[in-house]
Amino acid sequence: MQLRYLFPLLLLVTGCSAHTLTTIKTDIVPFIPETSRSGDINVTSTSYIPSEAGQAINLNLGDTLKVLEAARIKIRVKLANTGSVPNDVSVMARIAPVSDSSNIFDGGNNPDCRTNDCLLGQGSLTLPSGSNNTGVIEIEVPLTPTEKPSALGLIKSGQFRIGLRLQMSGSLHYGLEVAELTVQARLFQLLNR
Amino acid sequence: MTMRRWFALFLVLSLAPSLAQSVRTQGLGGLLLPGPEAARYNPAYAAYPAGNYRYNEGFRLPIGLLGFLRQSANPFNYFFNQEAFFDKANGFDLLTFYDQLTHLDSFLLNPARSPDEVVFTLLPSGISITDGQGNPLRTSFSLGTGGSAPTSLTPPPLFGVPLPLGVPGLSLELGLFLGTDGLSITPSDTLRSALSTGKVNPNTEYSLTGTGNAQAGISLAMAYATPLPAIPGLEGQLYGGVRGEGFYGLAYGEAQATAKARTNNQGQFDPNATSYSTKLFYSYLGNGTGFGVRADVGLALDYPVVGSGPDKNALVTVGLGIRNLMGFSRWQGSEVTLDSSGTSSNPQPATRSSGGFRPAFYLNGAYQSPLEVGSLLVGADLLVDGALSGHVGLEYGFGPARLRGGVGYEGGLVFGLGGGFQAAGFTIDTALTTHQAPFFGGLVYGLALSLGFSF
Repeated sequence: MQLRYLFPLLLLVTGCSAHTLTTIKTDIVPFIPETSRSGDINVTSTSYIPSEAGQAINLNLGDTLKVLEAARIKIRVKLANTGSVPNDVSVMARIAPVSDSSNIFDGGNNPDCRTNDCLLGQGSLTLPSGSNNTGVIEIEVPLTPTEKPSALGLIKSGQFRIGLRLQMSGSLHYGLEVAELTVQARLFQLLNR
Repeated sequence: MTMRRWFALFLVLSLAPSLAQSVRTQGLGGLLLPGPEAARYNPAYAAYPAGNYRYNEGFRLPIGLLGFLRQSANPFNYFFNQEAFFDKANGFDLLTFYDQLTHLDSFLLNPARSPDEVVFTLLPSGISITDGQGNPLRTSFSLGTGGSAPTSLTPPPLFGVPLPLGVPGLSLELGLFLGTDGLSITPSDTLRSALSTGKVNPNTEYSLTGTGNAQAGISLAMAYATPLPAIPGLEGQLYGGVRGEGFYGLAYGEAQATAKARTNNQGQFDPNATSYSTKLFYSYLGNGTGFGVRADVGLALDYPVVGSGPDKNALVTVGLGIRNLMGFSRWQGSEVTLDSSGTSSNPQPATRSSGGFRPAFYLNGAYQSPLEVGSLLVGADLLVDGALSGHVGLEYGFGPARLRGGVGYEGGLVFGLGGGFQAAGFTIDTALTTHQAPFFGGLVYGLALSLGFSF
């Protein structure tokens, strides 16, 4: 998202002080093709949102990225068991640099998100049998200089790929409900560059 | 231009503090009493007897300068102590600096402060602009005339040089002015609605526009004020005044920035439909020209109250001043636009002008009367100058002491409290002042002080 176009707005509204932290909470769902945000699976398998290659995001915040102090990614997937037996479901979120391979789920425990794909977070649950049994897996990952600093470094580059992998043991309907990206910066520090 | 040069330019442009008020006026909550102090708003007061509501105040101490010792209000740290300037806890705060700069005659006890956090939420669940505690921030803001066009109603001169003409009632003053017509931030109707409801509509454009300007020039004002002949049937003394003021522009700058975003069919912000545009107009000596003229008129009436009681020497005064009754202002310079691609256009010749009947009204009145013990003075004023403001004040005098207070409206409620004491060879006045914090609102308190010595 070309958030840099909001930069004049931010400066106008936030005023200008060294202590003011500007936080932008934005939605990255629109980046993901609508047809990839939800689906039905009738067999034990693995599914990806939107694909193994992930979704490219271009923050394009310009110089603001240089003063980015923290970020947070929040993902919520709604699940409904459509089978007649309990369903074990897990969701994994991974992030990768644009230069990564066409699969952002093959990097294992790579610790440096700036060189290869790496794990953002994951969650799991078991849905009881029956079509009325629904559940939600929510993954919320703070990215700071001390928590996943390499992922924060990747966000600061302004370009990355992000994707979800769903694994289930039976039939399932899933839908991506929330994909929020929050970034925080002290814009005044731009004067210091 | 480097960031450092931009900041130096900003400092120069910001050296245009508001016209200082007397400590007495501040103690009266901002009320300007009839007399020469009000002549800028009503030229008739130039001929008005200064002694009627006179109070011999000492020298106003610019104790607001002490406020710049605060780390958050000290812009010079940018050049001499960058660590302090950019400190993330107590570093420079433009709002604090601006607030103190525009109130140099008061030491601000709690100057305006930018919020610690500003949160922009642009989610399908709603949009909002809040502080870190979730309280909505103002997105609509205007100071003065909004700064969207030049005006012939130039700011009062920072320095004025009276030129003697030797004709009673006729005056000529050469001055240097520097100031701004205003600043405004205006959301589009769609954004205003979305921020109040928290919901956005599909296929709708949302925008926020900020404008501001500043100008500097040399002004020349010629005024004539005189007591008018008695009018049959009208008791009291009438005073009239006219003033013509022209200026030659030294520099003018005007900026307008607009940020736009559009929602798609699903009511989500379309990543490919956001944009911004910035338009800058500038004119300075050697690059362009600027000039303007305006006419002001005013009347004031003194009505002595004749009675047998203690108020037998009471006095009522009312005055009406109309500035910019006719005015014209024109600047020729260059215009540059910056679009979403980040590239700026080549400077193009452009003109900014305003003119016609755009009056600013100033109505004030006062009543003073001796009492059995002491004396009483009450007054009120009303200023219509793009925005509406007004004040009501009261002063009680007993012997060498004065107690005063007042309330007013200046985009929000303000008040003042003060006192004075005059003794042989010594005068002191002090006031607790208030004003509305710019942009984020709330009352800012300040202390003002004047001292006088005579030998």
